[in-house]
Amino acid sequence: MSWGAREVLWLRVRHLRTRTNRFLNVAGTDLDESTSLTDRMYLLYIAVIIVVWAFLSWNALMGFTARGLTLLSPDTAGLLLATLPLVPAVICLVPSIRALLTSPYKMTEQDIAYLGSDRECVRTAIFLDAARGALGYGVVGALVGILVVGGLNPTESAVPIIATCALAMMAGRLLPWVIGLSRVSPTIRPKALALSVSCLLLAMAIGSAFIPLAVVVTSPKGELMAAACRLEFPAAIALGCGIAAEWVAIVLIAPLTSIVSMIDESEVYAETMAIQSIALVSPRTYTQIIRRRKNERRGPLASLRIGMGRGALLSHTTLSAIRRFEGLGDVLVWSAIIVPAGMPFVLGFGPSLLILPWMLLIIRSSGKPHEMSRVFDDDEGNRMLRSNLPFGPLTLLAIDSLPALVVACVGSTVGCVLTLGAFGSVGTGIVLSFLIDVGTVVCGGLAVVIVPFIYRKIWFEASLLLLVGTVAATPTLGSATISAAIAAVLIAAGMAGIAFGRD
Amino acid sequence: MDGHAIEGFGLPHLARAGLSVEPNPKLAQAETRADCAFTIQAVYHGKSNFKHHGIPDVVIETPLRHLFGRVVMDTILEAKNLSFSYARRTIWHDVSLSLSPGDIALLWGVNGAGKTTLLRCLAGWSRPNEGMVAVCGRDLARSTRREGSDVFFVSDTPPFYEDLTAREHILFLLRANGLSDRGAHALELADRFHLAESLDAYPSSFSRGMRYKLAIVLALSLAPALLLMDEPYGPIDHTSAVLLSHEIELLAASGSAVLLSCHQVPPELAATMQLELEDKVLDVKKSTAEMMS
Repeated sequence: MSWGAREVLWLRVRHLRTRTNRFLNVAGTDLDESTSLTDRMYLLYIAVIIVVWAFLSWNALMGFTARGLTLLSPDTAGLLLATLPLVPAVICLVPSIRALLTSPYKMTEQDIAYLGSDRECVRTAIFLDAARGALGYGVVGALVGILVVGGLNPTESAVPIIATCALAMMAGRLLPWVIGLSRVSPTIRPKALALSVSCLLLAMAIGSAFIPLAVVVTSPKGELMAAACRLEFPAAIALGCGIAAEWVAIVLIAPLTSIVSMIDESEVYAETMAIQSIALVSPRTYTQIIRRRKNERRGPLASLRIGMGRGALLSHTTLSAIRRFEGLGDVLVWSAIIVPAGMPFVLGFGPSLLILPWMLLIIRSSGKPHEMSRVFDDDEGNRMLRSNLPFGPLTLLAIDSLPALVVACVGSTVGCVLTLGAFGSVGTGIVLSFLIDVGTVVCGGLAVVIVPFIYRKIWFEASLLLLVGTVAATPTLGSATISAAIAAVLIAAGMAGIAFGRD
Repeated sequence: MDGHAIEGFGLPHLARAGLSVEPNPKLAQAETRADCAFTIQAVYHGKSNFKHHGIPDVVIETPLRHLFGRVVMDTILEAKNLSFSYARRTIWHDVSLSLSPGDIALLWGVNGAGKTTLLRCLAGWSRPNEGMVAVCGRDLARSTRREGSDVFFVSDTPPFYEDLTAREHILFLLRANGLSDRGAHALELADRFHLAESLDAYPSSFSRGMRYKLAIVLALSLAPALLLMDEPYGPIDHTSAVLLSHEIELLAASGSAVLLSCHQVPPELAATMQLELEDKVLDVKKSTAEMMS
């Protein structure tokens, strides 16, 4: 191992130690400062707690998955097994597309300052980061494989299934590295060819993930499970070859990469590295900072077809949605996936008990719907300009949220059709989802405006919980009409609070 | 809209600034507040510093609603018995102040005297513990956003949208207020403040001085009845500072009132009033003799 490589390895170990220390700080201890015997005992105590917690959680997860999977027929289980390779394909899709736009290897400001000038160091850092990511994903894949094997009781040996899961995840994780590194290699010409080959590789990877499913589906009924199990061994060998090819590509391309391009594309990452801890306390704030910096880096997209009066407001909010398009993704995930996911349980087509985890998911994802009123937040947060916008808070909220609300309503409609289509209650689901979408906007307004009578702003998560709780109470209330009516009254009250509130 | 309003409109202030007024023909047709955007042609009458900057004719655009306010009330800002405390510490108390159309007031005071706090209270951004602030006869505590604002406060670090360019800021603010015909004038003003080349960039990429100049352009293009500025001469270069002084005089000549805090004497600015925050009290010096002392 060269001196540069050893140095980078030492540096990464130091980084890992610092991260562990940050985590241990929560428990009031530290690896570096725990020198006395008592401190060491306390560290050991923490380690034991973590191991026991992990073991118990794993056992619980195994039990839960096994109970769920044993309910499946052998054919359905075979289909599920054949669908597994699609998971890493989907997982690698987003980073691969990202790799077409930005370098997969991100450098911190310290990396740029101390490693950026040494090509050997950068190459080693690339190998280490790629290997670390692939191994991490491989471990997750193996765990998923063990979970599946535990529940499905396959007809053949479990090892190929576990290996396939692990290798598929590793291959999926390495593909973005190949694509990204070839893109930032100035010696690979022409650029269009490199991009085309990258896209082809991506398409092949995703396409090949469908092969097991196709083979299994075409097998005779009653033999789907056996067909799926037979495929696992060749799939593992193919994936192993794929990983080897990917690794060879990384080894060949890494020395050719442009460090200048990688430094340039690491700008946002390097600048926001120091504030990553904010993500723990306020994920929304952190996300907004990152998106703001990305928007600044991209420069102005599209132009402002500005209208007059309210038309000018609408132009601004539309332009803002286009330029910070990541927010629309959040709105779509919220309206097309998260909200419709709970509708079957709310409308009595599944166990009502699952409403609780759905509501927890809603609260956990509250940063996503908050995006619908982001432009309103921006307007209200800018006192200099807000003072000179001659609109009341309700008008401002309505216009500022309109593009995001339209996207949310489209997403809700599609989501409800997909989740409720089989049950025949699409209309009711859509109405309830629309109420949640509109109500979410109102919750965003209440979080900014000082509401009359109570003379304070209302926490976004609290009002959202009340709204979703009302919709979720449909099984208890006995009718979706009643819950929809109560939700509508709450929304109307919220709108009145905003209209007569003080911003 | 009758002729009386025109004749009575801020003429002494225009004369003081060396300007005369020719009503725009559109004015004769303006009957309601909806016709709020019209222009007054202020013709240059030989002010050397204007000529020095190559500004032979100046067009001042003033919303009609401001004109109504000034003609009828003759007072733009009325602050009575204001007190402000923060963390049990009195910042200032018993502050009373009145600004008429055409007034240019300079607010002095050492660091921490409460100048910014006073400006924030006058803009309606902060609430004083006691007292009342009225702009164009409207109590700020009771006015609503729907009525629009007659005040523009340029704080020492002006905030901007992160997803609009400088040009879009100007056009957006004007059009949201129904003043699209001022766009060309505003962009010309931006050019004079040396912002022309940066108009298509996000203000977040601007230096502090450029951000302040953009805020000045926004404020001047809206021509508010009351313009408040927090240390405007601090971040900008000398040439822009001289230009700012002239634009402030023009705005005041059109019937607005301007109040700005400062630590240095503004270049080539003929202030009509000096205010000093000292020992938690506002000292208003109106006469030249007082100002000189």
